[in-house]
Amino acid sequence: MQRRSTSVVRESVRLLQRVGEYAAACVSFACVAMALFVARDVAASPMPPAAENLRLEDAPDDAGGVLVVFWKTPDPAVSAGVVIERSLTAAERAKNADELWIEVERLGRDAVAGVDGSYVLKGVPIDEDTRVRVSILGTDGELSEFVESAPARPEVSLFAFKRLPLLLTVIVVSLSVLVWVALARSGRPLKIRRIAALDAVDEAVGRATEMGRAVLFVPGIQDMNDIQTIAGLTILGRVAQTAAEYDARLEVPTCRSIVMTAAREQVQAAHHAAGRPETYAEGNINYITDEQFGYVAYLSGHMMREKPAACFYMGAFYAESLVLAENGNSIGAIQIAGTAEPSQLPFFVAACDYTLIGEEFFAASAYLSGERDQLGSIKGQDVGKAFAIGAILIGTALATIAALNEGGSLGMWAGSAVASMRGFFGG
Amino acid sequence: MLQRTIPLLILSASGLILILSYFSPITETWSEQVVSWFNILAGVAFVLGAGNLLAVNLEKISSKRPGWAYSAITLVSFGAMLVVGLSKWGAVPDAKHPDVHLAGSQDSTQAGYGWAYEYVLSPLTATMFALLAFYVASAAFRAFRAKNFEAILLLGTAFIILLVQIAAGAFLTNWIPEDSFFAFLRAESLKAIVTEVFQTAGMRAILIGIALGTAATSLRLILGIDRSALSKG
Amino acid sequence: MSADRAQQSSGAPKSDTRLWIALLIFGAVGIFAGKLWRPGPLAEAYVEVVTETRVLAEVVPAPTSQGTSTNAQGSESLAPTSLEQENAPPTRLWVELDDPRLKSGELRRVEGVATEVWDERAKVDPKKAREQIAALESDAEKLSAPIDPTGLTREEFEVREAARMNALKVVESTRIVASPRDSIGIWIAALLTLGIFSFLVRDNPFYKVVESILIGVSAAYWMLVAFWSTLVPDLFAKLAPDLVRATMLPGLAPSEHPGKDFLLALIPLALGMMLLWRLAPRGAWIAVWPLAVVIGTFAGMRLTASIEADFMAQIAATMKPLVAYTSSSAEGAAAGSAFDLGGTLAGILGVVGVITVLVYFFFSLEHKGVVGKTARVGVWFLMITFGAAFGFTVMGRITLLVGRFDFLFNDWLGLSP
Repeated sequence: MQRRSTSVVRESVRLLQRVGEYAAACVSFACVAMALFVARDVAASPMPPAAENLRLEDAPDDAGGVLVVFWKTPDPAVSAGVVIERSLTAAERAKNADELWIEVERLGRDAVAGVDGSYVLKGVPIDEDTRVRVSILGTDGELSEFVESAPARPEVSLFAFKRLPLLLTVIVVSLSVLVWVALARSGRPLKIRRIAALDAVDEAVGRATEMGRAVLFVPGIQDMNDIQTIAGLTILGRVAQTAAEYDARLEVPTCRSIVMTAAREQVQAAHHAAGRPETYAEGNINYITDEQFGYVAYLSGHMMREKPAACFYMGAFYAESLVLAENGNSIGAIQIAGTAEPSQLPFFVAACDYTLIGEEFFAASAYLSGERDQLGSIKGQDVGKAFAIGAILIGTALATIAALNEGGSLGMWAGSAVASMRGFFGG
Repeated sequence: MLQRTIPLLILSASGLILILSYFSPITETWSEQVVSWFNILAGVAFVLGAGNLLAVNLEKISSKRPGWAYSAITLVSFGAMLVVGLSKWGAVPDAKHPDVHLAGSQDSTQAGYGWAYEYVLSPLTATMFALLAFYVASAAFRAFRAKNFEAILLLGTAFIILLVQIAAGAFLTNWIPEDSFFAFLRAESLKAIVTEVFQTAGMRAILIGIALGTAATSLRLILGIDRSALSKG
Repeated sequence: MSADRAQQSSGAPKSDTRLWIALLIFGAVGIFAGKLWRPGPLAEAYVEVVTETRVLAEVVPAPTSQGTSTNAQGSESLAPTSLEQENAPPTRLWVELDDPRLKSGELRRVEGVATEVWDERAKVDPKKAREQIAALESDAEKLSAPIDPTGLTREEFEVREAARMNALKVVESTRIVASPRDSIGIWIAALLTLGIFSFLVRDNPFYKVVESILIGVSAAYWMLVAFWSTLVPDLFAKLAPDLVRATMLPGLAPSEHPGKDFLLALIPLALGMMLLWRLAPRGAWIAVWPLAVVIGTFAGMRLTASIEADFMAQIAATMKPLVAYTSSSAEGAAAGSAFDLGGTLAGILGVVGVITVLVYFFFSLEHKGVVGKTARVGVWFLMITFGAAFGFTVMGRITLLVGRFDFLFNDWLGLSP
């Protein structure tokens, strides 16, 4: 922590220094520009003016290997480009003793269109000094004299300071979940509102059992690298446990091989948890095909033929959502869907009996488990939402004050406050 | 121990490592490495998928269960495609290395694989996708019969957007003067209001919720609060 | 369930047969009528055939100047630096028969290696193909007659005659031919398309056949994609680069860190083997380990990514002023710019929308009283959001359907004008 605070101080000092440098540079530039403006008509110089204020600095917040070259173009009007060369590395010098410099890049007019120019030099060795030299290319094709920089060495940062706000937010969100899990353990009463879609799970599985038909569970069409598939499979665990208790047949066709494996683990674990490991049938969990529409073709046909009484769609879905939901509708199945794919929510909402929308889908597994720890974590999510609402209200209020009192001191203050808030959240 | 505790420890450790790695410039590219490993793992896992496909269909055929002929069709088309694609049957040689057969390209219909893609797979998937036009209509009809306020809002908005997208919207509302108080009822303004005000707001809240849900789900898994995935017995 | 199925099997076939006969007759009559209206073959397909010839050549060592020839053609095979070239055997590469470097002596043919000859076929649009074939035929006819020498000097005649022969060569070497294999393909694609559409009537044997083909072919297709584009370049090429270079990827560049690549490739290989261990009779539990790695790593990755990209970014984007002026610039406000009622309402609605929907998502609060009413407003916002997405999708789906009809009527039946 101390290290971090000292580097914050160091950063701010560096910032102040840079502001000072800029101011000095601006003044000197103004003088040079004026002098040039006066001198311009007097005589056209045969060589373009050389670059000024050449600096070579470490690029912050990276794993090393990157330096940034800054320079000032004295007279952009007569400059057509810039040539950047760097000193050879020790390894290169060992191979080729004659050369001292190697050209890195020849930049065009855009690089010298303004006074301030910069170039990112990559692949710089971190354990030795590197220098650069820069020459301005004039509009007449002449090169100016090379200006050489002081040596620099890229620094390796252990922490990306640009992600500090993210780290703080992750800590806030994680802590709110953790605190509520701890409160739940300490016996604090947990009130969670009813979620109709989840209360219907037992009913749907029960109905399938009564009718002697299967329960169909579709874990989406994405692989295990999608958090929605993982969330869908945790819900599968709960549904499978209910199905095992009711002794209903649960079918899980999958679109990915790894999902099939994970679903088998999940359902087997559920049968163990329900105390009926002997009823677990691996043959009900099968891989069909990775192809989205091949999978849908199978599911459509399968649903028409086998007529499952309850259909669960839990995971990442794309265009197939509506095909599934409409087919389920036509066979009269109870359909419960859950996804965080915003583009597909409309179709599930329109065609399914119950839909878990976005965050509800992620809370479902915890809700269904009924365990205190997990219910506590749902409370933690609410704290996160309260945090979001608070930030939005404060930010909006400040932005409104800034707009109402534009130019006034209060407005200025509010404007800068909202700007720094936006900066924190990365807007 | 090996079956229950260690997997949970592996899960927690790999999760924490990936979270922390994002905050250091030295390790922030680890996630790319992990994604590439996952793709390889998914490739290897195809052995399981293919094995399952073969097992299920062979079992159906050997026990002569109803519909076993369809299983035979699946197996034949699976096997044929696999053989043709692995052997690069009919592939166009690579111009730089025409002597290495397996370096050839099999994307054109000249090769068996390209042909099967162009004339079997692609029309099938495209048609399956196109069926959605019918399903959209039937879903709209069903929602329309629901007759509650929410369904009407959903369908009404959908209807407005549909009208605006086709020429009918402009045709119906062009008589409203552009500078009048009711100008917001013109097709293009209605579309802008629906998308920029309502849809943007709705999506923002949904995304904030999803982000919290994702974070909480990840935390439950990484901290071992939800152990359902890996604990049996 | 069994009663259900029995009922189906006794009732369905009769009406199915009738339906299919009716459909077949209707389809046949339709095609016949269409062909009367626009005569022409069904499922027309043409390809332009180009014959490629390659010979193996090697670089003739140039003792005086190193590297002058290397960049002339920008060829990748000539990439090694001059230093390495001196000791290595001469670089070999496949070039066209009329490669200028063969004539100039920069390259020489390797003796004893057979010439590689193959045809490349590129599909041509049928309408254009017919036009091109007609044009080629008339060109050939025109060019076949020798040039009339009267009134020409000998040189003029020779120049023109040579030009004629060249043009004739080009015309004769351009081969645009009907492609039966593509025509058969179009027929198959059309039948498969109809098979999928038949599901709209009801589930039927035709659909079942098509569904079985789709599952088989697509499962194999994705396995092939994984094999050729992931396993070969990212796993096999790291584990056994020389073997892969000799058999599958001759253009594979040598790695800078072969040892590191090898070790890193062992990790996913080991995870994959553990996953496959499920098939083994004993110790199948080890398959859970790679699953734990996958779930753990992606849970960790998505945690930071979702908070950064969705949570924080969306909060920042919502922080906007509630009041709006017609001119948003500072001098506009000073000059007393007009208050924008529409913009202000839009701003207020935007924030109200985000907050009410978030309230709807609250799990701790029962949807009663004030919270209930707020959540209800949130639901309205959600429904409008969903409705808009619904409306935008409809047109896209209809376009897809039109695309399939276009294929059936034009590519297959050839009914386009």
